[in-house]
Amino acid sequence: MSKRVRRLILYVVYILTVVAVFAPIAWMISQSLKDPSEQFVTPPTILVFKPTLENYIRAIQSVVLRCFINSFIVCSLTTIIAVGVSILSAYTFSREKFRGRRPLLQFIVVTQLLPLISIIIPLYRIMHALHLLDTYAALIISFLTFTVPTAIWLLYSFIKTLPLDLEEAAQIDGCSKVGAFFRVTLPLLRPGITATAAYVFIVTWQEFLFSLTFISSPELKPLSVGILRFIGQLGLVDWGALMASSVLTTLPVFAMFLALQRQIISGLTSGALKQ
Amino acid sequence: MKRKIIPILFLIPSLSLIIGLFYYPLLQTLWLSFYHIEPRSGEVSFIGLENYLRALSDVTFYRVLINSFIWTVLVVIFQFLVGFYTALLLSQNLKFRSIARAIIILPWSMPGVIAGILWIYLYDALIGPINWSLLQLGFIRKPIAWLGSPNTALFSVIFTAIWKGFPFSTLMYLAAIQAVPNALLEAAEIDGAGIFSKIRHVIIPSISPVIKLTIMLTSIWTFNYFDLVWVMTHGGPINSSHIFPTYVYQIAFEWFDFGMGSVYGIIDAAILLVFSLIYIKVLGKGWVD
Repeated sequence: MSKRVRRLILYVVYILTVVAVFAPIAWMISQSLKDPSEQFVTPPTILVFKPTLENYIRAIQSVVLRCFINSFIVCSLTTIIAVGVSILSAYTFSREKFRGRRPLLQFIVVTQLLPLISIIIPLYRIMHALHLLDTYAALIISFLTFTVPTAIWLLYSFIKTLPLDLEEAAQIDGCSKVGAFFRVTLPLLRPGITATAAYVFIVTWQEFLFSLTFISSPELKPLSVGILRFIGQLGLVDWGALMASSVLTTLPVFAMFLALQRQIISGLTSGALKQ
Repeated sequence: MKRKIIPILFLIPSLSLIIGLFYYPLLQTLWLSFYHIEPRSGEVSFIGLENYLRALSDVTFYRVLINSFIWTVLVVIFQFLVGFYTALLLSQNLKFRSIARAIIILPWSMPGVIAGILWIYLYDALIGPINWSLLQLGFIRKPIAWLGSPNTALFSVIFTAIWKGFPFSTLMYLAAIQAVPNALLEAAEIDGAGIFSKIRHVIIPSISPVIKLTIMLTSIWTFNYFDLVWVMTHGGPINSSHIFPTYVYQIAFEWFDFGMGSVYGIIDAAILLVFSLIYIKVLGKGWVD
C-alpha cells in the first residue's frame, strides 16, 4: 500500500471518529438554536434554517442565571477552601519526614476509592441536625469530602516534581524550613495550584448527587439540578430551553478544561509514570 | 522539636475534614445498617442483622449486584478500547489535531446530568434522531423505546456512559504515548515492526503503569457513578437498570428507609474496598509513596 493511500485512509478514519464523537453535541447545539416550530420536523435536521436565540433567553430568564450564580458561589468557595487546606497537608507530606507519613497519606487517598453513596445517609442526618439542609453551606461542606483528598493527591505529586535545592539554599540563608517552602517553592507551584483549583472547580460544577439531596428550594439549586425544571410533569419537556441551558452549563467548564488539560493530566499521571 | 510542630499542625484541617465528613459518616452508615429508623419520627430501634437478611433474600439485591457488574465491566472495557484508539489516532501527525482534541474532550467536560438529558432526547422513540436514522437505514421496523424497555435500558445507558467518559482515558493515554521515547519507536521501525507490532511491543509496555492507573480510576468512578442512570432511567423500568448508587438513593430518599439504604451502602463500600485492595496489590507501590 502506498504511503498516500495509507495517509488517506488515516484521514478518513480520523474524520469519522471526530464526527461520531461530536454528533450528539451538534444535535444539542442545533436544537438549542431552533424555533419550536422547527424542532419536531421530520426528518430531524442538524442544520438550522432560521437560528433563534429565543431558547437561550427563555432559559436564562427562568432558571439559568439564578442557578449559574448559585453554582459559581458554591464552586468558588469549595475550591478556595479545598485548595487552601490541601496545600498545607501536601507540603507536610512531601517535605517532612515523620513516622506514619505513608499510612496517613494512604488513609486520605483511599477515601477517593470509596463510594459517596455510602456516606450520604449520615451526611443528610448531620445536615438536618445542624439545620444546614437547603443552604449553600451543606453543599460546600459535602463537596469537601471528595475534593480535599484529590486536591492533596494532585498537589502532592506536583510538589514532588519541584527541586529541593532552592529551598535548601534559602534555609542556609536563614529561612525556616516552612518559610523556605512558602517563599521559594510556592511561587513555582503556581501552575500546579491552578490546575488543582481548576480540577476542583470542574468536578464540583458537575456534581449532582449531593445537590439533588441537600437542596430543595428552586432559588438555591446549582445548575446541575436546576435545569431539570424544564422537564415538567407528565413528561412535558421544553427541549429548546433545556438544550440551551445545557450548552450554557457546559461552556464554562469546557473552556477551563481546554485551557488547563495538560497540567491536570500531568498531575494525575505523574504518580504512575515515576516508578 | 518545635520545628516539627508546625508541619503537623498543617495536617489538622484536612485530616479533621476527612475524618469528620468521611470516616465518621461511613462508620455511622455501618451502625445504621443494624437499626430500623422510623421515617416520620426518626425513632431508632436495634434489629440486628434483620436488614441484611431481608436484603439477601430479595431478588432485587441480586439484580442490582449483577447490573452493577455488567455496567462497570462493559463501561470500563469500552472506555479503555475507545480511549486507547483515540489516543493513538491523536498521537499521529495529523492536521487540526488541537481542534479534534478539543472536540473529543467535550463529552467528558459536560456534567453527567446534561449528557443524560441529551441522550434521553437522542434515544426518544418519537422525536429522537437515533430511531429515525435506524428506521431510514432499515435496521428496525418500528421505533424502539430504548430507555423504556427492560431489555435495552441498561445497555442504552452503558452506551452513553462510554461516550461520556472515554475522553478521560484518551487524555491519559495520549499523555503517556507522547512520553514514549522516539528512539524506541524508531528502533522498532528499523527492525521492520508494523503498526500493530509497535503497539504491542513498544507502546503498551511503556505506558502500562498509566493503563493500570486509568483502569483502576475508571472502574471505581463507574461503579460509583450515579448521575447518568438516575437521570436517564431512575433505575427502571422494573429495576432493570438499577445499580448500587441509584438503588441506595431510591431506598433512602424516596422510600425513606435509612436502615435498608445503609445496608446497601455498606455492601457497596465493601465490594469497592476489596476491589481496590486487589488493584493496589496489582499496581504495586507506585500509586502512593
